[in-house]
Amino acid sequence: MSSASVSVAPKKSGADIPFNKHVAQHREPGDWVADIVIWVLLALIVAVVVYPLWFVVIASFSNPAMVSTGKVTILPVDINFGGYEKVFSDSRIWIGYKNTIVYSVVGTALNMIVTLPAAFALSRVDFKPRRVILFLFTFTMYFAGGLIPSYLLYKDLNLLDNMWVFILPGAVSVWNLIIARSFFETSIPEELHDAAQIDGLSFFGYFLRIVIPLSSAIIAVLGLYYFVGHWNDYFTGLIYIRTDTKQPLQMVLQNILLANQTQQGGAGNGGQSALQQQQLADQIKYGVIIVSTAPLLILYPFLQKYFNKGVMIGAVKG
Amino acid sequence: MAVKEKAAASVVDAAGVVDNTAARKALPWPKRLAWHIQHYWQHWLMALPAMVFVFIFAYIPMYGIQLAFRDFVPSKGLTGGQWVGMKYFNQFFTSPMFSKVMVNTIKISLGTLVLGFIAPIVLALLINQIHSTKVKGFVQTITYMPHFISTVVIVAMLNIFLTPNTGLLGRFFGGTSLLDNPDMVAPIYWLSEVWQHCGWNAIIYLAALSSVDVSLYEAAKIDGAGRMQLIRYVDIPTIMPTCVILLIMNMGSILSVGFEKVLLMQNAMNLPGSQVIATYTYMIGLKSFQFSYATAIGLFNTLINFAFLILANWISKRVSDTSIF
Amino acid sequence: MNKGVAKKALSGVAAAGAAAMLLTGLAACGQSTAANKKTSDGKPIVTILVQQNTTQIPIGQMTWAKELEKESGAKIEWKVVLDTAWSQQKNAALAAGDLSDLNIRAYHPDDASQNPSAFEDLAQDMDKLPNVEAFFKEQPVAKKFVEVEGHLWVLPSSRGKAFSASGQHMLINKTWLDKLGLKVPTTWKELTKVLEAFKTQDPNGNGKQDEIPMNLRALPTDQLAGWWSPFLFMNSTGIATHFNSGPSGTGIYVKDGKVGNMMQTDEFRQVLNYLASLKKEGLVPDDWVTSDKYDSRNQVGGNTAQVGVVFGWDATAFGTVGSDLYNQYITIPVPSADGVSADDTVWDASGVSGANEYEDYHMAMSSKAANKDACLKIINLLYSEKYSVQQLYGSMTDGYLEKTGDNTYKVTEKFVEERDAQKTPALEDRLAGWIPDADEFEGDKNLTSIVEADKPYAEQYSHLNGEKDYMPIYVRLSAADQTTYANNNTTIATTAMPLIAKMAQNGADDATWNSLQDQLKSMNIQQNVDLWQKAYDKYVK
Repeated sequence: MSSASVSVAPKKSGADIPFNKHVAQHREPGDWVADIVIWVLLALIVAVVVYPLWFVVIASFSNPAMVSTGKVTILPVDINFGGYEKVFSDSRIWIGYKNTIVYSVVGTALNMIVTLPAAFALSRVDFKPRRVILFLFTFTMYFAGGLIPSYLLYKDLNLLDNMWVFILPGAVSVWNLIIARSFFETSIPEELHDAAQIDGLSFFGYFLRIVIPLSSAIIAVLGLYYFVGHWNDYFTGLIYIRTDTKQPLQMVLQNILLANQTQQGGAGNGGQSALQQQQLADQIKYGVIIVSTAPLLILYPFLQKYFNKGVMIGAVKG
Repeated sequence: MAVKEKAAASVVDAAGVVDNTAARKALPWPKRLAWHIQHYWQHWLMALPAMVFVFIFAYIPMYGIQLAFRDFVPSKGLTGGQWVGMKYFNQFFTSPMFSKVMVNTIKISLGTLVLGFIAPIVLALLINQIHSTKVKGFVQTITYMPHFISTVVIVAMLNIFLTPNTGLLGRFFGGTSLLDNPDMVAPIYWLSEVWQHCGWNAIIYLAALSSVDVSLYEAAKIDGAGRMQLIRYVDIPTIMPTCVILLIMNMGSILSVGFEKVLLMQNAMNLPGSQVIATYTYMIGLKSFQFSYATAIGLFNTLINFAFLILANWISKRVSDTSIF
Repeated sequence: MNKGVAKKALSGVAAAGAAAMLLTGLAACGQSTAANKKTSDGKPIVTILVQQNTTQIPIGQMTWAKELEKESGAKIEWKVVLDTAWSQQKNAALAAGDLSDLNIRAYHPDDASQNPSAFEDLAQDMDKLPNVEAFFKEQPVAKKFVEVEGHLWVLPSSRGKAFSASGQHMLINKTWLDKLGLKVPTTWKELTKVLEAFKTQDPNGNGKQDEIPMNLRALPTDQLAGWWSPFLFMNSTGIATHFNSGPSGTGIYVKDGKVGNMMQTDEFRQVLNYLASLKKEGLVPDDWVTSDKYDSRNQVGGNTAQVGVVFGWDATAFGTVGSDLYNQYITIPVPSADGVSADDTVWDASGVSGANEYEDYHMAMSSKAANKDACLKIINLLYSEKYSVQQLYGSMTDGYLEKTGDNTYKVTEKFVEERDAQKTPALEDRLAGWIPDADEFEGDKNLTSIVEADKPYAEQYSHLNGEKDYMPIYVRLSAADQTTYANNNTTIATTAMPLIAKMAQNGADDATWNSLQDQLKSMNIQQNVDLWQKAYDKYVK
């Protein structure tokens, strides 16, 4: 973007104050009261959140009967890894992981390719048809045909029992599109557009060369939202997939869980006894959370760095 | 946004091209269309893939909505059943359950809406006050994790924690579980929702805060602004448009509650407070496959939600110049 | 910036759009529909949908299924759907007319009677189904399960007489009884005394008062009762339950050919008061009415017994067959209520009615099946003894099942191992087949356990006056009546269950009881009773 003589005039006020990223961290005397309040509040919040998380962890390798009768509080009781053994002894789980990663990565890529340009085009106030288009988009967040017509449509498109059913129908999330549009509208200074026009950049060029690099925060958020959406998608597999090897992780985990749940008295379920099944099921219930979310936990810190690059900073560097 | 539109218009005005605009409006529509395409084909092209997907996967199946007005006969398909008009809507409105499930639904969703709207904003503002990137990352990661816990486990934990006498929280509330009290279902639902999703929902605000114009802080500080003033005059205005957009969209879920969660929270004692539209529909659908009835209730639900969205959008457009469409 | 950039940008966006289009296109070409119903070498193709459990290996990998394919001379395409998925997929599939040629354990007679044109009426094809005909000759009740006005759209299955038992039993810790020198209780008063002794005299001998004298299952929210409900105590009063299935769960019962609803009876009030008295004495868990910890409470003691009495399937609720805890428990006849003679007590009719032995939805054929004869041939093979027993216990070729005599079989250790590892190589009781009464199996401990558990109830079963005292499974409501009945029930449950839950804890005082009765009346409970009476009169002649 070196060619862009884009003058980055901050859009609101204080244009004449030189940028200094250290000043923001400068402590004013008297701020320490506020500091203490903030830290105490955050410590409280973290504590309230951490305990139940910790509980999930210890419950995943404690005796499940002890867990549900409230005998597990701070430390695990009757430690055993039966739940995890069960989960990982099932070869389907690796297929599930693989499938989910493929669906999530391909799906998110398509989501971004479709959502970002649309969101940007619809963020332009001079593009008059946008209100109608946005209304028609928003409408679909509320009014849906339901399961049966969707099933018929997918059948006609040959999407039944096909991996693309995880990717194509959800290519646009209107919710995410509106969030992205709102970001473009409020965070990209209009001056940049003017400058880009003066430089002779086309609209596409402006979007790709200037807007996208300044939008790392929203791209990170959108990517996260979409990725997690794909990762947790369980319903699609449930309804539209009839082949074991195409099932995503969530479905595999669900099946392992169900396979171990009490078969009510055995009717219609092989007349199997309740005991060994139920014991594992409760444990698996907790273990499954850890198995399925562990990969997502590393995702966030990775994305977080994009949140620290503000629009202005990016533009100046550009 | 409208404010920008006005600003843009005035700029155009100042640049002296106002005549062109006026002249363009006077042109016959084929020429206006040609002008529009010439100037905006790139906009259209960028929006097109999304429009195609939305059309195929959202609009094509939408004919299924007529199920609410027809008797569903599986062998005749969705459109073959006899047209019965408002029969199923009337059935719902005159059902003895109607007022009960409406009250419960509104109670549960309204509280969730208010708390679920405010809490993430507060959390984001708090987290934004931390200067250390590491601490910030730690707090964010911790608070967003509960989002991934399945509903089944959340409700199981609620049960365990609220067990009378022995539970972590239950020991403070006497001999019966709070969950058995129909009046406590809603507050328990609200708080657990906030607990679970607050961190996740704060992400979008944190992203918005990351775009704060740093020079604004400088200016404010030079003017002698303290911590609270910075939050009030810089941070909050920055995230305000995002807040408003999310509020509008949340208003569109005024009659929506997490169905699975309420269903799991239900027990024989708390039913008077925990039977909501979604669980009622589920029982109807599950027990007797009354698709038409379930679709009608769903459609009624949707209409109310959408009406609230339109209303919120309209008010917001008037008051704050921010709107979805 | 110049045109070059613009071009690049344009091509980028265009490529994105094109990619999206391409994907849609690809998806459209991704699969070919099996429109041609013959293989290249002229074999008929038959698609068979099977609703399977996750503990079973896919049916296509089972050896007996491969042998079946060979013997039938057709090419079979197996489609497997899991239980959880099927309930969601079924209606979409029906509406889409997307039936496979054959469907195992997928469609009920009710589904078919609402879409008669989609299903083949197998009553017309009986000449090609001699095995099914033999089945119906031996078990006329099984035919009644599925016959709707002379049509046979769906075939039932029989899992053999080993399943001729109720799923509901009352279990007591015999070791505790012996240790405390107590006899098996035969009345509610005696039961209370026994439970008190369990509570106070430390029968498990660990020095702690941690015994749960009686464990009860929580009340449901959508109807009156389900499996192992405390309302099995209704049998103590002479009103028979049928909690395996059917309308009994909503309170419907039959006595002397007259249909009623338990919730409106004085006997029900008596049971509520008894339950409340148990709670008052601390003999049942304080929060049993709403607590989901029924299973955990059975197991919380680890290797020490902690539960005295419970309603359940059999002693496997406490330990695997043959384990120490399993051996501590016995099933007992339900003790009689106050003022009821032992000769008037009954027991849950689910075993007697065949609800556990037969299932009514194990084979359905599409009316549009292209290769009709091949389909019928496969059905007939499946209902032969040879394939039925292999569906139940796995392939004989693989050594999961051994034929030891004319009608005797041995289930091998190999099969039990695979089943314990949740890789069952059989359809088990989900078979689309018929296990004749003459067949005997040895080697499956779980199977004998449930029959043993049912034996003590012989006397109480004999107090039932046949179908005059319970609602047979084959009694059906018409589709419209079914809807009315279900809607009434949803309303009734939401209003009545909180009141019932309250009374089960605190006793049925006049105010609450009368309020329940008023509510029930105002919510059309009589209409439900009438509907079932009408259906009962129609089907039971």
